[in-house]
Amino acid sequence: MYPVSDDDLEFLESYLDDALSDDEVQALRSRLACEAPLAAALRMLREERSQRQAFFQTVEPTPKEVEHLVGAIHSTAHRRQWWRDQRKIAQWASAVAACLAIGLLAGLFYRGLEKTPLHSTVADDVVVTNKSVSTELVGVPGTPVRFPVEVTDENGKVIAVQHFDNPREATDFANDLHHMQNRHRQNSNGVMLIDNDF
Amino acid sequence: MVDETTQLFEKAVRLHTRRLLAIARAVVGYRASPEDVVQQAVLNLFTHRHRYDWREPGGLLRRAVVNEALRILRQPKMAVMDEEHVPGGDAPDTAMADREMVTHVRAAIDKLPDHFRSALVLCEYENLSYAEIAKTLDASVPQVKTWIFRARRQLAEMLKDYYEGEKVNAGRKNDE
Repeated sequence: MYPVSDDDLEFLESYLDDALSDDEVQALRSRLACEAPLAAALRMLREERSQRQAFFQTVEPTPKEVEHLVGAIHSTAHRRQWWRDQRKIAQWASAVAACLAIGLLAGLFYRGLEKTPLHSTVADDVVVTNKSVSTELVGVPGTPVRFPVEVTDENGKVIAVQHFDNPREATDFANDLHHMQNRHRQNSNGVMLIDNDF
Repeated sequence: MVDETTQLFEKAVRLHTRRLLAIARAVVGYRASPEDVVQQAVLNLFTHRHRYDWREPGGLLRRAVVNEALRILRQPKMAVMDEEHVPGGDAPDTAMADREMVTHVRAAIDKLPDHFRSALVLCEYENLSYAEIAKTLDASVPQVKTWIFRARRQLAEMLKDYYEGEKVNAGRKNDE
């Protein structure tokens, strides 16, 4: 197709691409002056190139198309930026809320830990007997009559006094507490008497 | 409040979009939307805009667009656009014969392997040096030279029949 070798063809194309050094250009021009096939090949390459240039001209966009695309890019970029800013704000707010929630839960947890041993200690050590129910009237004249129940520990020391409006409530409370104490002891010893519940 | 980088980005987009769109059109042909290619490439850069130097953004933008175009062309299923809807395909001031020739050239260029076509577009449309093309396509200079040389040979081969037909027609006209 071309009247020259592939090497010469590549050399000519490099020449058209302006990729040769000054010395190479001089050498090529000397050859072109005396080698007709080389000059013919150069003309063919130039013609092909001009046809490709004609194609490249058709891909040039119009100003309106460019303006439309630039507008689309800018609006999309701004929209993305806005969402990114919103997301950042939301992340900060979430982080603050999470910190507050963790602090609150930690506070509640530690406060609960401090109270729990008090309750269990009292529950384990409390001893209530029927004798502790007093039928003596407590109070001053003009005020309602109260019936006290003393709650003592294993050493007989009074650790709490519960007042009731009538002796029956006081006796029931003492019996219930006594019953719960027995169950607790049975559970601790591995003995469980279901009959006692009925 | 728009920061300086964003301002430079917007300026770069205004300045280079015309060339970028033309490159995308030449590279993706009918197989994808060139506008989508440019938009996606530019917005990818926008996402990480603080990493780049926007004082000389031409090479960066060109590289992003070519890579995005090649990425899209690598996807297996590609919707082929109708030739009539390709912008610039029917310039009113182009003569009938020229239009036919351009159609043939476009069809031939579209058949080239993606890297050959990209290198050729960057060489002949963007007038980049082999080194710049190599940098854009992340390839070596000899590789780029080979791609361009083969692209031109394949084009010549594909258009051989058309050229010969044209010569015959021209000869007939001269005889008349």
